[in-house]
Amino acid sequence: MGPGSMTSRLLSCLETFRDKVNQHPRLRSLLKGWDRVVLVESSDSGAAYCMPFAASEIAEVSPPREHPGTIIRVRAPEQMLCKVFSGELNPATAFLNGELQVFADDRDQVKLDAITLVLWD
Amino acid sequence: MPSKLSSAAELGDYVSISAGMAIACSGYTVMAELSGIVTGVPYLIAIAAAGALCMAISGSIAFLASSYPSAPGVRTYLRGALGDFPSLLATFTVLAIVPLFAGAESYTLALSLRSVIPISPYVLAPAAILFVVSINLFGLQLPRTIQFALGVALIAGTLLLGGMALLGPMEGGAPLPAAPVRSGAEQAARALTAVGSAVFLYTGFEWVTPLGRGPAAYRRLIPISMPLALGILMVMYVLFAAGLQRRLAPGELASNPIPHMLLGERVAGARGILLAAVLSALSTLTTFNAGLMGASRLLYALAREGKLPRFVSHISMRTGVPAVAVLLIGGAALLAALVEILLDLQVAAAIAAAALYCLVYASFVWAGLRHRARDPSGDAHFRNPVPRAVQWGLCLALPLLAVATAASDGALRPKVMTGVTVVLASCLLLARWSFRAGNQARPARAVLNQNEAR
Repeated sequence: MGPGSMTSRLLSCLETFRDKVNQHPRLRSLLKGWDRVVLVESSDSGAAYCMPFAASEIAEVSPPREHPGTIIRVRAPEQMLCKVFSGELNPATAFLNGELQVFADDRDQVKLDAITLVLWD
Repeated sequence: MPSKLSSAAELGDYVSISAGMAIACSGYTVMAELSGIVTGVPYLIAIAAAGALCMAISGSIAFLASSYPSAPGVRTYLRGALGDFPSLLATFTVLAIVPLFAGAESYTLALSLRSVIPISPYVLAPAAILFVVSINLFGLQLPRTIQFALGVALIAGTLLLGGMALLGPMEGGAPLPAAPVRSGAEQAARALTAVGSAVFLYTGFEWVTPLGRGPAAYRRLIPISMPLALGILMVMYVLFAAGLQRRLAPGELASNPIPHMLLGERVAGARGILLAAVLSALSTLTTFNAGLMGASRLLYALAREGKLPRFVSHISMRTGVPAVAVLLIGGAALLAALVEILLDLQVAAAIAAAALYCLVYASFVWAGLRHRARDPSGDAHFRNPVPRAVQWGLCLALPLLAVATAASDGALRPKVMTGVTVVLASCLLLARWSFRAGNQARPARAVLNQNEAR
């Protein structure tokens, strides 16, 4: 599998993640007032995508560009990012192992973790 | 798109957080306690030496942080280098220090504020803890710019009070007390003990490591921020300690758990008392709030990986706060505060926390050495400038310092030794149980409050 196909898989995972988040009724409450931009960066392929959270949903998945507001950076090898955003891997475990990096304050880290829990547990 | 901050502003942010986390109201109590061990110039040297020791330790922590950017410190660093069980033991020890510290801190704050707010410390100390727990439960958080400003204000205020005490005119002042004549062995033992106790003044500086704004921060800015913060703290504490010695008689200083209030009064009367009270409140607010928040997140993370019962990872769907973890840490802090107040254990708790922190720091240095040995090529971006021989020396010296610190006050020795032993034994049992439970169970999922979600 070449780097190009991995990158397209990451984009596909993130778009599926966005759809699941936006369709999940319980996440509305959790995401209320939480306007953040999640920047997903691959540490090996260099691929990067933005997911702005606004009005209790993810607006779009797009290449990085200027967004107002607080930015949360999520960084890992591309394959791991795909696993995390598709629910195959517990992000908390990857984070505690030091394999998944999340650059945000404590509260935003927990919120991001909670989103994955609601979706997949 | 990431960080728009300039490097200088970002570094200033990290330095402020690192220094702000270390400045605690109970630090003044420890400074008073220290003056009972050494006086005169050795008193100041002990405080400076503890700062230098922490600078050397920060090299190992910076190296580990650059290997695991954004990771939650003690749990990840030690597991990567030393294995799961030692990591759990150190993590539970850090978690146990938080209530010990909270008890001493809230009581010192309550005593400090008594001259401004006439409420009994028995009421004010638990109220301070409940206030901080409530802030955390409601998910309120100070913006980072405000945290930066608070850190700067705290350092500036302490320097101002110390500077006024040291440089200002005084009536019938006493010269800096001369160190009493003692034998060489006794002198060395007291100096060692004093350095170990003085480590307490700097603890918490490493809590900045999970807060980097991006991977680049771990190559230079986070590693530099810790020794810079420690350097600032060292100057601030030495200046303040010299001021304390100039204005307060040795007997007044050693027996006073809130010497900064008396110093404020001596230096500037009512205004000085107000300044000292504001410094007390600021230092407790920054340290205590961040300590409680960090500890609750650590507890939550342990539950998420299946090392603690799953109910501990309960998250409020309304605020996104790990509510059970906050309540557990807050409850433990409240209980510790009440026990410490009722049994008059605040100073003993602070000394025990200092001794335990020496052990935790030893494990960080050891982890740094092990991590380097396992991966000599190193994927870390920061290279620890402290020579390996010095790091090995620290691994041996810090546990000795821990013992010396625990035994530093003859009158409190049984209480401190008992406290340290009980904490370590409890953490050992908890780590053993958690290690086995974690190996048997699948990673726990968080428990979400479904009622809130509906």
